[in-house]
Amino acid sequence: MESRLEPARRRAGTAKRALTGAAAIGFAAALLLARASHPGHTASPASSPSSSSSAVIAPTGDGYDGSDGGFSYEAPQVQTHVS
Amino acid sequence: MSPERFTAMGVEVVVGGARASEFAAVRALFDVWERTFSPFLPESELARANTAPSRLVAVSPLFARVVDVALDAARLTDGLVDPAFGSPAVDWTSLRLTGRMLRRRRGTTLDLNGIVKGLAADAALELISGPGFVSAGGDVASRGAAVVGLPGGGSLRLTDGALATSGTTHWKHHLIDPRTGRTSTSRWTEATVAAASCLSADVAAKAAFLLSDDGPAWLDARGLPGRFRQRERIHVNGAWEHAMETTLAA
Repeated sequence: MESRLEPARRRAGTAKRALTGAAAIGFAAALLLARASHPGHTASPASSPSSSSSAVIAPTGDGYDGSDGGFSYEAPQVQTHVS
Repeated sequence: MSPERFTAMGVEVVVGGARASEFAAVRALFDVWERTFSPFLPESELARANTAPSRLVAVSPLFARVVDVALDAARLTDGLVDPAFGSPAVDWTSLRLTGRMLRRRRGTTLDLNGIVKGLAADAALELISGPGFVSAGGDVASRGAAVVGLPGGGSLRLTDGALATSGTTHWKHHLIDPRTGRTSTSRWTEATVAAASCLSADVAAKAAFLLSDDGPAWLDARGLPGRFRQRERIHVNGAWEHAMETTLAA
């Protein structure tokens, strides 16, 4: 029984992941398409933040840097907040 | 080159990486958008559209495109980000845009605040030729690395794309939940979302905030990293965790 259930679970999982991926692409693409048609957009792929399908985020060097026993800190250039 | 600042659309705009001529162009863009979309200037196109006696209004190409984007945002969030308000029966489905002709159901008021800032930040970034960033009231669009401070402390490096935060903390302003017409009862103080554009991040942050407990999973289903603050506690969704871990492993 388990041998028949396991492939079914795998197929269901694959389908779910595909749907999730489609939803992600759908949300981003729809808004980006709308955005691409608004004034101010220069349709320059190289310079557009929409050239990738998602943001690229990474941790900063806040905390112990492991090199000279000190702590590194990068002061934020800008702050995201509610306005 | 240190960031330059000015005030427009009721918020502080911070611009990094722009040459003098580009910074001037960014200021001019925000000036036009403020004169078009301000709900507080009686002569703005938004104010004129809202007070027009006719249900059918001819709008400018810029206005029409922003309404079009706002309707897309409403569709994609099942009305959580809604450009229309008025009587309880009024919502985004009360609006019809055909070319530059906007038709509204009687008693419908347009509110484009939910998307204008993010769109303006995206458009302004296009005016900067090299690496740089534009923040409009905390909605940040970046090309090239920018270190962005996060609500409640901490920071991250935004290399490409955008970050936006939605919530209730600033000026004790409260988001209205379009589903109830009342002040949101979200468990979160703020929701911060990373996306390819400021528009997407802003719209998704509002939706995720209003969805409260369901916000993190809603973002995960769309592949969007989200960071939620509940007073002093920070919660991140799977996509946020994955994005940070992937970078550390690289």
